[in-house]
Amino acid sequence: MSDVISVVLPDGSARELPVGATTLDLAAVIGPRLASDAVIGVVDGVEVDLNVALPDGASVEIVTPASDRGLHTIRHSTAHVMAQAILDLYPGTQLAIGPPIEHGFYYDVELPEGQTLSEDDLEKIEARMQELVAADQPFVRHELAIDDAVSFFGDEIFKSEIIERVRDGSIVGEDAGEASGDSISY
Amino acid sequence: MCTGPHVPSTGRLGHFKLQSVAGAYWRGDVSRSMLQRIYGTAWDNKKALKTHIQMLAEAEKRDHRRLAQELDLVSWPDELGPGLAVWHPKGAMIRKLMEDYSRERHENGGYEFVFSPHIAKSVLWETSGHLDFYADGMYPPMELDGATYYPKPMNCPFHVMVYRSGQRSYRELPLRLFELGAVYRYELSGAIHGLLRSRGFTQDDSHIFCTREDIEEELASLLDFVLSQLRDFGFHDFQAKLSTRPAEKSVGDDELWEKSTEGLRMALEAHGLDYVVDEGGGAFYGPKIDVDVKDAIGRAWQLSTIQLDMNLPERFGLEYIANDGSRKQPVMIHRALLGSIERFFGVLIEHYAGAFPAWLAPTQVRVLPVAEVHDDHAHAVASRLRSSGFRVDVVGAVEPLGKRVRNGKVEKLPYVLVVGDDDVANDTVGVNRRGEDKPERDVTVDAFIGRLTAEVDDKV
Repeated sequence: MSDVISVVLPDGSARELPVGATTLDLAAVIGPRLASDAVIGVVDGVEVDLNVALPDGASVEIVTPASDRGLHTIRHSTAHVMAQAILDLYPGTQLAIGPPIEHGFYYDVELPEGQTLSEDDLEKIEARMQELVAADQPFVRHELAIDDAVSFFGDEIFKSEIIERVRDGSIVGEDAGEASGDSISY
Repeated sequence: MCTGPHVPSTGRLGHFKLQSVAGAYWRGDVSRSMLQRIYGTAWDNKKALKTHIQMLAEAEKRDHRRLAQELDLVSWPDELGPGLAVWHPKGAMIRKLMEDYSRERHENGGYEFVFSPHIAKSVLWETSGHLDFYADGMYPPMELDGATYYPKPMNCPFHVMVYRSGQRSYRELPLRLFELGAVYRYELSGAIHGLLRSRGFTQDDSHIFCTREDIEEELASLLDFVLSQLRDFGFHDFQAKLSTRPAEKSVGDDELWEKSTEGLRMALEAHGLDYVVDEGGGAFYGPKIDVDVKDAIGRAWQLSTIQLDMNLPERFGLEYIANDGSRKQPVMIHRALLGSIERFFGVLIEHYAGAFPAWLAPTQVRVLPVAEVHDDHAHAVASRLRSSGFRVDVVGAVEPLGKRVRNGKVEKLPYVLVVGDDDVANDTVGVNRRGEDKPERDVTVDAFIGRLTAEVDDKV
């Protein structure tokens, strides 16, 4: 078995990389600037994190913030950071959905009993978000089988409902945000 | 729990601002929890974030709902229900000018006028397919004498009734039927937004019946027509979207799909319009073009639609006698150019921040006598201006001149003329032009009339 793989770039050119190389590795090979700009990769038409190993023969596109897709990802990730900040400031908050939208994002939340957010609280949440940015926490992906997801998200009303809808096929993939300690898991 | 992917780490983020908190029902279900939705804007660099925030601040100043109230144009009394408005005299004057303009352009553009009622029996909506595909967007029906009536969400089936009222010959085609048609659509209450999205509105609506051979030329001249009207209202920055045949279900034959899609594409190319293609995003019954304009602060607004329809002619069994004596089915084109008068007016208010060009301003000129002794001359000047066809008012010396001039500025009047001793003697006026700090003195009334005439004619 070979210890190199070959991938194809959008311009048709091919690159050889060691087995296990990621989109980030590919970007680094092309140029250090690209590696620091890169946001996600698109591998055979599917969006992936930069740290995912590339399959041999794949078509790979490196997405930067200059593109709509890149901005979309930045907005999506920012939504998750906001969810984490809200959980930090208001423990016990139930999270629902937080998608990117034109020019930004939103997140739907339900604060614990008796508490509501007003626009006066936004500054505080924003400040916590900037702390999370400064801490440069990695985004860590965890893939769970549906039943494991059900037990993992047991206490979360809205996430559990989403999982059941994934199980019965009525939705495919949804937005969520789970935070723990020093990384943002999703 | 997210399909992801995400940026590698939070350090890649940071150019964001949280904006607002709103209520949102979980899954849109009013019987479930009301969640809090926190909105934010995010960009990849500081400058882009700053520019966006500045644009939002500027947009806030131009909010048409607030300007409509400040300038006494339109209001939305609770008693009417969500999404329904009354137009006050000043707003109504602008609307009348917009509609007069539209009617004149259509009359000169080869269109025939038609009128239709606001309601019709369910059978019309069953034949058209609206009850199948559009029921959610319709107001609920009313029962009368054993029949079910719906308020119209669209004018098309009525125009079809006019087409079908007699046998048609190829010599009559293209037949262009035009109506400023009032329609009623059930929009979700969360989606309603002043004049921009309402539940009752009037479209500058037309349905064109033509032969296959006519399509290319008709579409090219239609695009020309729409751009010309948008330019007259002060829009010069356009973008279009071409929506093509959907992959799944569609009606109509391949040749017609091909011809009409290419006709739309060629029209866009011929005008050098910036456009994107929404592959497969078209309706099942035909391809379409949407035209967006960019307003004074760079926001895009979708206004015009040119939509081909291979479905309604079939459903209603429309025919014409062709050149060779055979019976053929006409092609149908739906188009709304300003879109709806309401929405267009909302966009205009924001584009101009309420400072309408002279041809549209409800009051074009205000004449102010410095003191009571100048009253007669002020009224005489006003009279002459009215004879020249302008909309003029006079405000007597009840309050100091400075205050009256400032009020004129607050009302965003294009011109405020001041008449004092010298003006009475020399038949001149002092001209305060909107947007200019210093008045221009000793302008003869005739010169002023000439200037304003040119401005109104040029629609600047």
